[in-house]
Formats: sequence, C-alpha cells, structure tokens
Amino acid sequence: MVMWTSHADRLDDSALLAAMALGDHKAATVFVRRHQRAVYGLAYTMCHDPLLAQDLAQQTFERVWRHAGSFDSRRASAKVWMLTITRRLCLDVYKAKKAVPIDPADLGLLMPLALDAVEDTVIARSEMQALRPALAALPLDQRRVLLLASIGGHTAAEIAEIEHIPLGTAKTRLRAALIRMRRELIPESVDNV
Amino acid sequence: MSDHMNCSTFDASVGELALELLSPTECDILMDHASTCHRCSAELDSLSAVADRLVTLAPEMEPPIGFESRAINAMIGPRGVGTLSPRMVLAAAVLMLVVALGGGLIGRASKSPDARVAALNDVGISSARSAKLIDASGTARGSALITSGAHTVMTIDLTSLPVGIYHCVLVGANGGRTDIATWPVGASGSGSWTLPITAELSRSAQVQIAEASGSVVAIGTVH
Repeated sequence: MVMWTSHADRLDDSALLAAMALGDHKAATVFVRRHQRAVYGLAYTMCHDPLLAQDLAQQTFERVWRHAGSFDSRRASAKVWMLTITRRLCLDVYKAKKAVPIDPADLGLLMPLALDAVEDTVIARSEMQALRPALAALPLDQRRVLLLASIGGHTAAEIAEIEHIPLGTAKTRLRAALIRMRRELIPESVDNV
Repeated sequence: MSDHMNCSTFDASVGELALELLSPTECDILMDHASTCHRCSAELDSLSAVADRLVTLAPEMEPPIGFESRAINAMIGPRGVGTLSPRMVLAAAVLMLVVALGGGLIGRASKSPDARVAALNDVGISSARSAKLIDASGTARGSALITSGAHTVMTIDLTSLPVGIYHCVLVGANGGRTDIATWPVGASGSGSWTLPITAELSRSAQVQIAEASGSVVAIGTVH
C-alpha cells in the first residue's frame, strides 16, 4: 500500500485517481476539495436546483471513487472525465423526471461566465485557453445552440422550439458549431462537409 | 428518424449523438450505420472528443456548507481498502506506477533512474530502487525501476537497441536466475514495460537484458 502524506495535495489528478483506485482516503479528500466547485457548478447550471445539484455532485464523486481504476488519461483529462459523469447524471434526471433544463433566458448569463470562468489547475487553464477563443469565435446563433445542447442538455427539437427555428436548422447549427470548434481545437482534423 | 440511414442523414444528427442527447433507439440506428461506415465513425469520434470538452465551460460555483464532508463520507463510507480484491490492488499498483512515471507527476524521459527514485520517495513511495542498464562499452541502454509494497512492480525502459526480441532476467545475489519477461523492440529502438514480479529482490541483484540468441546486451545492478 502506498503511503500518502500531505504530499497528496501536490499530486496531479491522474495520480490522485490512481491512489483512489487503491482505496486511499487522503487522495479522495484532496480530489473532492480540488473539484467540488466545478462539479457543483456544472450540476447547478444544468438543473437549476440547489438540492438536486448537491445530490448529483455527490453521486459524481461516488462514481469517481468506484471507477477511479478505469480512468484512462490518454482519452481525456481527469476533469473532463469527471464532469462528463456529472453531465450524464443530469441528462438521466432530465430523461427520467422530465425536469426542465436550463432556462434559455439564462444563456445571456451563462455565455459570459463560460467565457470568463477562472480555473485553478494548469491543465484546466490550458483547456480553457483553448476553448474560450474557439467558443467566442462562433457566430452567436451557433454559440447559443451549442450551449443549449451541451450545458443546457436540450435536444435539437427543444432547441428548435426555444429558438423559433426549424428542426433542420437547429441540427445544422449544432453540427456546424461542433465542426468549427473542432477546427479550432484540433487543427489537423478534416471537415466532412 | 428514418430507418434508411445514410451518411447524409447521419450527419444531420451526429451533433446530438456526440452530445449524447438522443434516445437509445435513435442512438442504435445511428450507431448501426457508424459501425459499417468508416467515414461516419471517424466523424462521430472526433466530434465526440470536442463535445466532451465542452463540460468544462460551465461556471464553477461554491457548493453549500457541509457538502465536502458529505461527499467524502459518501465516497469512502461504503468501500474500504479491504474490500478491494488482490487482483484490483495489483492492477491499481501497476497503474499507480505508470501514472507516477508517465502522467506528468515525475518526468520520465528527462530524469535519471536515481532522480526518479528520489521523486517517488518525495511523494511517499519510499521503497523504490533502480538500475542503470549499460552495455559492454558503457553506453546506457535503459533503466529499471522497482517499487515494493504489497506487490513488487518493475518498469523497464530500453533505448537505442536494434529491432529484435529481448529477454529480461533477474539475477539474484546468490546467482539464481529468474526470467521476468520477453519483449519485442521495434524500429524506434526503444520501449517501456511495467509488470509485477514475484522474484526475491536483493540489493545487489542484477537486471540483464539479452537478445533472443542469449547474448547479454545490457546489465544493471539494483541499488
């Protein structure tokens, strides 16, 4: 068993997850302290219910603990992996309870927050440094559709209703936004348009 | 959604598919097409990679007071260390070492074996030992790093070797030999392997790397 001391808070996320896979409580504590604001922030942003957001955030950390051994740093950063768990839990709630996802009126608030979010870790900063200009470069209509779908959890049909646009237009904008983001984030990618 | 799926209809819904917004039935129809269409499969993979990263755009928020302790209790309450199977512990131990060496915690390529041992000691892994692997001319051919705990795990890095199959043998202080593993080295001339070992490891044990013919190409003494 690896012995951990106060050094645990100096470890990067991948090392913390590896230690958590060994059942290390100290690593779990450090991981929660480091990421609770991000997890709760996403859960609250998606469901707009403080109690439900707490529950979903707690479920996220429970799943991270149970599945820490399956984390693969080659596929995604630990933060993306963890927040994807949060997002899926939120989407499950939408589907099961027909909960109302983010109010489209809040998009005006969400977009500047998304563009100005402050991050703590070096990895998170580099992630945001790539995402923020890519998102900002999107035409406004594509940015709205992308945020309604990704953070808001809305389907294209719901977005069509919210934005008063045909379903085909909502689908086209969503795909176009993802392709433009890909072009910015993965320059070597080839567009299949 | 039409059952007559083609690349054009796949494209229309690939954004929602990448963002996991579709029903299971809709997913199945699209995934059936992607499973037989390399172009659409690749498109889904790359757009999913972009979609996954968007979760970090949500603003961070301070959770209510008490959340941290509740979350930690919920995590570690139901599952203690003792409930892990030995197999899981071993797998995690190997993962731990790989992450420690390759995940940015400890710079692998840029540090000598001694520096890596020191770095591991620094994060609480006090049982790490290493060996520089040197050929007959004194040229470095790689290194071995061994950590001992509930299980002993060894990582071998080889470099600047001709293409071929190489055997790793551990030679104890009493001359006893234990075959560790056999690995291929490709055109890059290098490779890295991590595996659990069961052999008794004394301070003066030797790690030997031999060609398929049995000719020893590198030796290192564990210290």
